[in-house]
Amino acid sequence: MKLESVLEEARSDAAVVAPGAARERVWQNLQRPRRARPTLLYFVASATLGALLCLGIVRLVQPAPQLQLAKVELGQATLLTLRAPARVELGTRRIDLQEGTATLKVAADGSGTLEVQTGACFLTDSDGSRRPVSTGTTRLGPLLSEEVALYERGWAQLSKNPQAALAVFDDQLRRFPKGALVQEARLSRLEALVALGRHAEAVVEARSFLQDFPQSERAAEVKKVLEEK
Amino acid sequence: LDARVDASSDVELVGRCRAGDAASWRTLYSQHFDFAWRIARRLGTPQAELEDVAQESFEIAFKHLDDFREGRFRTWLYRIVANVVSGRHRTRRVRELFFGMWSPSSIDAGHEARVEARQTLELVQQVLSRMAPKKREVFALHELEGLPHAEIAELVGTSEETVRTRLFHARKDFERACLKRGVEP
Repeated sequence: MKLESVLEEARSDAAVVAPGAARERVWQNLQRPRRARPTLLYFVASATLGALLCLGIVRLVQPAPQLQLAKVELGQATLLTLRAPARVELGTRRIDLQEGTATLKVAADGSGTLEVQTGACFLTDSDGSRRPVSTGTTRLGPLLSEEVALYERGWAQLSKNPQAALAVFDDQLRRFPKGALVQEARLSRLEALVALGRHAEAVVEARSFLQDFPQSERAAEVKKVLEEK
Repeated sequence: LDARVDASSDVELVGRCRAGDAASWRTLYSQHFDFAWRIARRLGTPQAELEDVAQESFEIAFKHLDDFREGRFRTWLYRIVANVVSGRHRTRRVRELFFGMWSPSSIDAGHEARVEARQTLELVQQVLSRMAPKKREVFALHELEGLPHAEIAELVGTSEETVRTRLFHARKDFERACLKRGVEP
């Protein structure tokens, strides 16, 4: 094949004449709403979406870290090293460490320090309020004083309004089930029940007290109430 | 004079299109479709892609119709078609570069016996697609389409002298590429 004949053949190329059907097809296509052409923004958005999806899949595949749960008994000093996610129940207080690490030092009365090294931590106080704890050391007040305050409030009500006093003692026992003033609260509750004339409940309460605290110094008083009954 | 008359009627027609006259859109398309098709083919577009190139060119033309202010619509459309074809050649070259790493080219040098009618056209397309766009267009418009230098100069927006120079170099490139593919001088 010679160069000139190549050119000759190219000149007589029949494909330069558009078929009528093609003309109509292209026109019809032009009438249709056009699909958006991929743009740089489109590619960036797709890549971002893809990365987020991958991240989501990786997080789904990864096993979720298990929640550390700890319940600190009052009356003894405790030192805890926490790694998120962790929850500590300290009397009526609750500490939620959602991210990072923290160290909790608690004295026998519930006071102490919470040192958050990194991450997010929340403290739910005895009154139910929840607040974030900033990184660093946070002082925790003693819990006994709250228990004492509750008991004193109930005691003050006992002679005037035994019904109200009963409610306060119930609240104290619910919030401090192993507190330092449990025996006092239960005995005072017993007194309130007697004052209200709810003798059957008082008997049940007295027997329950003797069963829980047989060696108590106050056991003699309780037995006396039962004998009177 | 004819060119001036053409230009003024083009401007009027485009004006009606801009005003939203559907019939004028159709007229504009019908008047220039064959030209767009022909140019696309002459510039080396494979037959299978001609419809796509025509459609893409008219989409661009219709979308940017507000940019056409004066002159001949055909000249303006030519630039669009030439750009679309150049873009496709570029894409095809990159694609072939990648696939060529694993498979040899479909047309090998030294196989004169296989260069028949269809293959000759493919060879011309291949050579054209590898030429620099400016050389390709003057070569195709003059050697294949048979347009005079003056008309080519108007279409590509340059002087006749430049067209002659480009044509000279384009012919050399074309010959060299054909010889490499087994065509005799």
